[in-house]
Amino acid sequence: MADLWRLVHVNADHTRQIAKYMVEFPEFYSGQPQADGSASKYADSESLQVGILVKYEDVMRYMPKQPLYVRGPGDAYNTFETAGFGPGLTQGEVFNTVGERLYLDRWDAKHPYIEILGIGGTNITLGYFTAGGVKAYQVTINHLSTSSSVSCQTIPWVANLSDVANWETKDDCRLITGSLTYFITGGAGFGYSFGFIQSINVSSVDNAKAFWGVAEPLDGDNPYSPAGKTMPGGGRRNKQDFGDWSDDVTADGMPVRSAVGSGLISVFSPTASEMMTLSKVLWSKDFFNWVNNMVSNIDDLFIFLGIVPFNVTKGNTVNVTYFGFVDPSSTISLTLCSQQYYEIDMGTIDLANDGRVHRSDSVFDYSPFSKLGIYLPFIGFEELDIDEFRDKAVNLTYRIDILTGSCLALLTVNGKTLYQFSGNCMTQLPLTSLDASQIVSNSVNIATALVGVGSASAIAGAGAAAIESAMNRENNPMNAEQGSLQNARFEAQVSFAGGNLASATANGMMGMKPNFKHSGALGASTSLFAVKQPYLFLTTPNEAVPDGYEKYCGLPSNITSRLGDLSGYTVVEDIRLNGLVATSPEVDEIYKLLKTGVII
Amino acid sequence: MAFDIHLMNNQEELNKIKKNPAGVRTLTGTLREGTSIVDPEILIEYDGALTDCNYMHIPTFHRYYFITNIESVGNKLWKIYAHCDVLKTYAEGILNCTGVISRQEKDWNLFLNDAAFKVYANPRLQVINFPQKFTGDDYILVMKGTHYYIGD
Repeated sequence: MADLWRLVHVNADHTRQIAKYMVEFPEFYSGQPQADGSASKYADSESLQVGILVKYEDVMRYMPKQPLYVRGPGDAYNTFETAGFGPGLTQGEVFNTVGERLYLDRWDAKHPYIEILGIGGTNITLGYFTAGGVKAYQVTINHLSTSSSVSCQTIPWVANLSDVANWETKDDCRLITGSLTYFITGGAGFGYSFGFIQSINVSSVDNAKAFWGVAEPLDGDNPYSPAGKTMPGGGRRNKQDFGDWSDDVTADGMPVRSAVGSGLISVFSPTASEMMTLSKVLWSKDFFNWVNNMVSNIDDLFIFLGIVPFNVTKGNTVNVTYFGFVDPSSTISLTLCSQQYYEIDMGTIDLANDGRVHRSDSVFDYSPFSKLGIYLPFIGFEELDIDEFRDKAVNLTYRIDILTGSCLALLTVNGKTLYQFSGNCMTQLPLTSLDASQIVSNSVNIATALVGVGSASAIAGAGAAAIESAMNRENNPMNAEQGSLQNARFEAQVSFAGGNLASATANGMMGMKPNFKHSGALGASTSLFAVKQPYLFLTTPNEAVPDGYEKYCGLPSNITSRLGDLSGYTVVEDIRLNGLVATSPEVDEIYKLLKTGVII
Repeated sequence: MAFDIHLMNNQEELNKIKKNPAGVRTLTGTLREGTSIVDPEILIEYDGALTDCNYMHIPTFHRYYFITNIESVGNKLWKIYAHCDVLKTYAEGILNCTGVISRQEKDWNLFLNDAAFKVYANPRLQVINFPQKFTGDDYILVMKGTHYYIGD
């Protein structure tokens, strides 16, 4: 199925252009010839309009940031594969696996998405899911890969079908889920049809907004925007890595020796009915008399009973006797556990290629600006170093000993197991009154410890924030009230060059944010109720960059260059001025101006 | 010494190296008083207004100038105060010099820290689930003193 389906991402400029075409030439979609009766003006080469319908610009902000367009192999509708792709979305990205998702809005915490529900020989079924993960509807697209016909599918889109010519003024629009089919017949003519499989009337902008979620329009002038200039140039996000000189660190294999099969103890995983049978036998009169004579209490038979949060590997179902005590009327069948140690792979999150992961391809992607945490079931919430994880594949594997319930979460980053966190996933069930009192006591202790830790961390966070805030006020470089304009500009430049991290606005903003605990001690009796889904928690700054910032203030460069090889606004950190037949004051002035900022 | 003064009109940024001021008029005269060539003060006789000029070039001095002030000192007499535009005057030499560039409009790298970066107070928050989770549950019963056998 490789290459059967591809997504082509189109930026806002393209869609605006297409909208213009659609408004200007309504006969294109209406199936009518031109006003003078002649055939449509659209030749094969102009087929770029097919596949995407858009409304006027006011609605753009309610549309997904990454309009998409499905096409099959061999068609010529690749006009859009030129520029404007956001980070993580590559040109002609293959989209061909059931379960694969394309997130329509990459900038909100929640994302509506399209998921491949099925792929047939000539069709693909897509489901549209809201940001909350609820499937709104699904559509099946036929694909004719061998004929001269090409079927393109508009993924749900906003368009006013009843009066397209008045798109500029109408608010009434509709979410299209049907297909627009464009037939090419040897270049001599063409036909098209527009059929709905399902549609949802969007009678107001608020409805459209609720459906799509709020998305800001692409901003090509903003270097931090996904369509900005950061993506193709300037930044090199994959440069940060462990490098070839770094060794791999991996956990050894699972232990070979275990209590299972030792003969000293027996580990069972009984079913509920087996537990009931065991209970009946244990508390029968004959067995109780035997126990009373042979052992002091029931602790001598049982080591413990508990529940683990996963299905263990079952062995044989066996008949169990105790110290050779055999009573045919009380034969017990129990299912053995065939292994003591378990390794559960929770999968891998590819932070480099997962379209959901936000990045700005800038210093903001790393600490102290971005923060990364992980929630580990039965262990709790742990903080990670974003510098070690950014743009890497993160694998989470649990190793669990069912004899004790101990679990160890191993976080492996690009083949290196960098983090290990331990916890306990066993929920112990009391077999005796002594067990019960201990379990209750443990729960109370854990709750008490949690209250203490939470208070301390909140106080520490607030204190650190206050101290850093005070430091920021001390180091604030805003002293431009003195001196001439030129001096003020020069002072401003000095503050740039100095780059005092503590006074950096962004760092101050992100650094002063306290960290709050997301969970307390998760173990033992509480673990069974807790969230069992491990997840990463990524916090990234929301950049505030005025349009054209680099034009007026420049962006950090730190290169050595001949000035004549540059253009635009330039600030020189230092330079050797030679070859100038200028007076000394003139050279000084040139030096100061270059350090203040000049336009080349 | 007779020399030319090319009076010009510059509407580009003052800190632009490659300025292209528009010529307005050229005056020819003789320097009757001494003056600085960096901050010249030149008295000229001209029958008209000079309000459309803010820039000048004196080839004899090999310099371009910002006109910083124009004084009307009598009938047809104007005193022009100027300051050398060192960027335009020495543009060729400056552009041939090599230095370390701290900020640039087109050649930059955002992975460098920058005290000018600003962020909103509300960060982006993302929760990314791992593909798998804990599912199911089983009893674990650990006993001692047991013997077991398969079948009857």
